[in-house]
Amino acid sequence: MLMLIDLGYRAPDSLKEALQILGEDSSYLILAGGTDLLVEYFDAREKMGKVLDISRMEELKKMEIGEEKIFLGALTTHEDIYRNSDLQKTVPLLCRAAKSVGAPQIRNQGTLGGNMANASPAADLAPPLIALGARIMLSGPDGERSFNLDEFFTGPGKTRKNSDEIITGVEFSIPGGDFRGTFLKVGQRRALAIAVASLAIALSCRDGKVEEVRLAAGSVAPVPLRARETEKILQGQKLDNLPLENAAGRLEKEASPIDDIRGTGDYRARVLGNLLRKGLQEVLSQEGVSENG
Amino acid sequence: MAKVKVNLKVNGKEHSLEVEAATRLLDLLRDELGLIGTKEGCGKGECGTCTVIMDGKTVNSCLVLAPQAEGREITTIEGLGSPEALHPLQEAFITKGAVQCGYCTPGILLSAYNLLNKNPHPPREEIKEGISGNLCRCTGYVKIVEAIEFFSEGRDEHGK
Repeated sequence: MLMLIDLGYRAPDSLKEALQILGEDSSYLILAGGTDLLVEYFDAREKMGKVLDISRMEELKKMEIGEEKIFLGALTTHEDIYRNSDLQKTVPLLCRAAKSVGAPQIRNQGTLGGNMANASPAADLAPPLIALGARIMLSGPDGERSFNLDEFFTGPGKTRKNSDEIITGVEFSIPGGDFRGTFLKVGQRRALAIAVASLAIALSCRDGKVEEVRLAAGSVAPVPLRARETEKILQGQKLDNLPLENAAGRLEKEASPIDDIRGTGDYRARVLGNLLRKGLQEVLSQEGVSENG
Repeated sequence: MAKVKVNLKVNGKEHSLEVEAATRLLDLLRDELGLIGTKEGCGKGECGTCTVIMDGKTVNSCLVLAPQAEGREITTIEGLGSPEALHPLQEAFITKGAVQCGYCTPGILLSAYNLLNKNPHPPREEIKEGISGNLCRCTGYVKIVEAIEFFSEGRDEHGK
């Protein structure tokens, strides 16, 4: 641990110690990769107040890729995700989203847990994780809690995490059977671009039909949006006759994008519909993974 | 905010400093160690001008709090070459005219250097991705990419 001269900056090695510090004083600002926080406090770092730097906690850097489940620790970086060959094989849509973030410098610093905690509607890892049915794990003074990720975000910058809790990671099942997925993002340029709109598609197919579908979109609602109404239109449909237009139209209505410096709400809705058309065509052309792996 | 002690290695040399916890790695390098080759551009992680290599990975030093660099190994542009003995990658930038105003150059050199450490002969697309976190407002990148390719192609000859 760092030599302590004052209690305003703490960098514990263990989760236990970090939770103790938060238990005594939940006003600490939790710092991991810093790619959002140091931008937020760009011209007023003295206003950061007390900082709890969790970036040294090895136990939050775990990546467990099992037979059926994947656990990614909160300090997993975007570059860790994008470069991991097991993840590229099992959940390429997540790797594609990780690669679409910032540039090498940002991906080396920015963490999965930070991307969730910052709760931007444009958080690029949220749509693929929601589409994969991920749960987010928290630790706090009263033990552990977890949420389905699509119920975790409550508004721009807001989540169901309490200020004395720390995100420890996310967990999801490795998709099996005939699974097809993708992540598409439109930004203003190819690098260092925040999404104008993004969309993750996860389809589990059986006997040439959509057995289960999850759609999640970024930058088109106050939170990363699970598009349940649009899912219903695709559910049970034949792969060789998907109602593309109907689904795209529904998705445009299900979203509630705002006008901002990156695009108008109308534009975002239209882009989102197009992402669904393009994305569904892409997953239809993918070879489904066979039952036997 | 609190003062903290930070021990780190910069360009192979150990340093032990006491800084305000809210100090950025960028400020520590420039103001405490006088390594002013690392430039500040936007200060918000968008331009890559302040890029340094930390434990083998490029980072924006404006987005790292100095105490987060405790125990880490940092390479700045001063660690790449000196005015008397430029690194061959720096020579390649001069040869190919990849430097105009020069403000983005330290950051781009470090991004390119780190990429070339991992892959000595990267294809053009990989070079572009490798420097995608560094903005240049003068050259339009073509000469920069050419300089990196020139170095990469010639490196077997000059043995670096």
